[in-house]
Amino acid sequence: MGAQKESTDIQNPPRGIGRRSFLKKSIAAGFAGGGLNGVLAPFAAASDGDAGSDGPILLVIYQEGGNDSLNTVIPHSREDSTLYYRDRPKLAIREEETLMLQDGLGLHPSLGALQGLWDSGDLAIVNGVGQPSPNLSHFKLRNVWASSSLDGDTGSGWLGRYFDHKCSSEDSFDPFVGLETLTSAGLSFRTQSSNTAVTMKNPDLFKYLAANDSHILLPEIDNEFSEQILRKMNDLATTGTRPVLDYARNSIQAAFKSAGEIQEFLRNTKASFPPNNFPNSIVGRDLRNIARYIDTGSRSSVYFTVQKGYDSHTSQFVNNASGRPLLGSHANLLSDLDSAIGAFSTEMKRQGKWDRVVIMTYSEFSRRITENGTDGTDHGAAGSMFVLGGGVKSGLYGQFPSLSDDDRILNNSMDSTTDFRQVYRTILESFMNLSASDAASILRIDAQNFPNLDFLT
Amino acid sequence: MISNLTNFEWNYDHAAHLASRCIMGATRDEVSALFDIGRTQGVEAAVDSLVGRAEDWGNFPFPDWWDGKEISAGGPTGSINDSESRFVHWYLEQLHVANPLGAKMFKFFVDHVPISKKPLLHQNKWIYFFQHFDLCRKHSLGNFKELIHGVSWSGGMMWTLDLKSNSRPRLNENFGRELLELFTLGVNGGYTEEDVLNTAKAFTGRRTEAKHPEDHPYTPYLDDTYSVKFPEKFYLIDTAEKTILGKTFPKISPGQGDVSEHGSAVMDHIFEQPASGTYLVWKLWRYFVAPEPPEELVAKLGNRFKNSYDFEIRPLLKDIFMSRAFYDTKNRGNQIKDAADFMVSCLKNLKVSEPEPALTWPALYFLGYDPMDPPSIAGWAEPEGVGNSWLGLEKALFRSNLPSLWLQETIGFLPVYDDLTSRSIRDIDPPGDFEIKNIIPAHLQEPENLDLLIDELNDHFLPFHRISSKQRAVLIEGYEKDFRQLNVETRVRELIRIFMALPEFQLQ
Repeated sequence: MGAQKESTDIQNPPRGIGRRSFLKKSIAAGFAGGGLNGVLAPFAAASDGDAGSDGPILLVIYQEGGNDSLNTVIPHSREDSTLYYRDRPKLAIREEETLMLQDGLGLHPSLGALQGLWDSGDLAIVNGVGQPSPNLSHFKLRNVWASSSLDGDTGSGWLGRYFDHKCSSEDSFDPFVGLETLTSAGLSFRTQSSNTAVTMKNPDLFKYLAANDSHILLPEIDNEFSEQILRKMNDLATTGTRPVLDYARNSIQAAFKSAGEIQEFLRNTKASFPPNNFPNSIVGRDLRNIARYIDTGSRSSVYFTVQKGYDSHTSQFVNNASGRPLLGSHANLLSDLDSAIGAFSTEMKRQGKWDRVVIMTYSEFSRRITENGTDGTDHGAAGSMFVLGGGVKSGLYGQFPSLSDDDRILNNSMDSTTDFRQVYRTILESFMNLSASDAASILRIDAQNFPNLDFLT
Repeated sequence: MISNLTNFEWNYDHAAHLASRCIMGATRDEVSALFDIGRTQGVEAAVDSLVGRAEDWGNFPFPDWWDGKEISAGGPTGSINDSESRFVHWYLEQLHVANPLGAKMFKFFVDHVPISKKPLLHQNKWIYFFQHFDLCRKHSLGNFKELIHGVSWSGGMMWTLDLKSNSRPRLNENFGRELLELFTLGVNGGYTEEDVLNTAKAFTGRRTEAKHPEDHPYTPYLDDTYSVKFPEKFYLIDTAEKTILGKTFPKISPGQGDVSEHGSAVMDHIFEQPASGTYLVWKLWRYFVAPEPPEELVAKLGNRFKNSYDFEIRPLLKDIFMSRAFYDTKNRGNQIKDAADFMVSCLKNLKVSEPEPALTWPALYFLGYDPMDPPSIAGWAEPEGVGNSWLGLEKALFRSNLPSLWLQETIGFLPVYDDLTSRSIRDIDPPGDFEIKNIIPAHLQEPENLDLLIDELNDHFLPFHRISSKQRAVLIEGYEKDFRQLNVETRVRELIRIFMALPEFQLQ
């Protein structure tokens, strides 16, 4: 489908009715409004310590499909780099083509903005990240990362459990504790409490239909009566009989509750904001939307988004005019991600919030050391992750895996040197300010065995 | 022994549960009919009325543009989007009006072996989509093993999982892995990485072929030119001896038998593995019953499915629907309708037809289901299980709004895409085929019959649930106070809108 318009007459009902009833509702629901150019800021934080005031803002970007880590953080001149060049006769990127880091590693040439952030001391690279006895299934590994459990338990996600922890009582659960720019609710955000954080890809869709759009209802009727009746009926329902029904009801109630805020937000912010130096791609638009929410003082402390398309079994690269494999699908994905992160960091600096932001990228696995026969790479194991932000201690973390034939696992894959849950722990503990024991409990780990990686100040 | 429900136990709730899981958008009438069969002829007869019903898929012929003979690119109007919306409409019509269990299984297999438009549409390979979906519906109540054999020759799958470019000199294990992991044995199905590699090698050499007809050099599209075949070029095939799942397949030499059967022999061996029975049973249990299948029962059914039924779907489904475990009270009303279940529920409950293609496609898309674009080769998120991911907040709102397409006759909740169709969606009229009298007797619409009307709406839309007296009081108050300025018909439409937005309507 094509690009969505920011807003249209059909999308936005006439202002009067919606706005009036929103004010009524928001007072009833106890949302305190902060200032935003003299109008109500629906996202504004209700208390100190939320993201909206001065709390941490975590942005997680999932590179779906298995990013080819060896062509992202490239071991061009290390002890065993000859093996990289031996096993990737077509795909390997030469030292002089990479953007230089240190210790014989360089970034893919599409990652210019990331190199800038490295130079300014805002990028940590964690190498060799994986898990014990990995498996090469997208779907298993996707759940392993999302749930922070090696069996890929789909009951709840690591961020969902963080939300449960943060909103400790059932009544205090605020859907805006986290926001994922997906169309389907993901496992990472799944709570144990059957509460739901916000899943929203298209803010224009995020409303219960108003009568004003109808061809047959009288336009002067305040159609939010139907919504009010529904909300009352749901409030009166018996809970605790069936968990799935409770989930559905919570989801619908949370949707109604957050829709008013989102629509008010859309009315009060210019569609053209922030200045659009974000790439015109899905990840670019998602990061731009997130920057826009943050600008209005969104209460969300966690954002989650997905960049799809990394499963590069075939035609991972296209040669450039000089016959070098620097173009094509993988380069395009990295370039897109790089521009989106670059624009986002610039915007956060402009908003004066860069020190409160951490961006973490991950993929379910990396790919083989050896290229396959169709100009691509098959599923592999450990790889590198990026962690960026004003409070990040720039540098290389985790040992870069050995490429030697003897150290390979699962048909020429890199073995891990760092457990992914150490990265999670470091973020929860050193950035989200949880105690080591709370972080460990959320991640279902024994804190002693998963030491903090210390990449955050 | 598998414990079955007895005729003595059979009651209305059993019929309601069976109907709600086997019939998308099961109506009160369908539940009653099923209950009556069970009561008069027994549980087996009730189950047979679903499982035994044949479907003539010929009632749903491919649209006349499927083979591309009349146009040069992109479908009936030259617009890919227009063709996509017509394809999705063609599919939804079958889910809506075909043999209900056949349709339910058709949807299951479209999810089990999904193909993606990404590698296909820019090549205008519509024909592969029709062929693949036809394969899925043909085997919906057919044979699982034959289906998977067919999938390995399906042009759509060969493009989706790179099988068409997998060869001895250019090995690509994408298909080999997913064949084992997703289609037949499951991620814990007992295969090793070596098995994945060798399976990939066994499936080398298959090719799709596109011949340009001489008189239409730029129309690589015609019926008989998009065949799937085995190449004459022997060097593309990995002929070496290989061991897969404990069995050694000898080296192949030219002239020795049909080399195209090489992968097929490996496929037959995969279906010798115990997991080939249990994996599909496990997945079907999650699809039809509950997210955590009972292990012992899955093992028994899997064994029967493989060893007694030779992968025939009908007897397996019959076993599932007759088992006592299926009817366990904790399984009832405990599954969130997926996007298609929900869409068909709307159509059947309101007694309306599928909206026109330009509306059907975006409606399903924003429910989270673009049948031509699975989020991954594992299909859509949680088609089986409880289905939480179908009700993220954005989708919860969209589901609350979708009935307004008919009840308010508006498209105001659909986002406007300029390039969605060849026309602007703003020029499309909402469907006008909903009439209250088709679902509610006229006299119940009189305000003095409000109590009876609420009963009727409750039974019609939530046949498995009764609203509480307090909730009823809220409805009555809203009707008499808030809706007082509305005319009688609009009040009833608003009440229906409320019933269809309740969480109970999301469940089956």
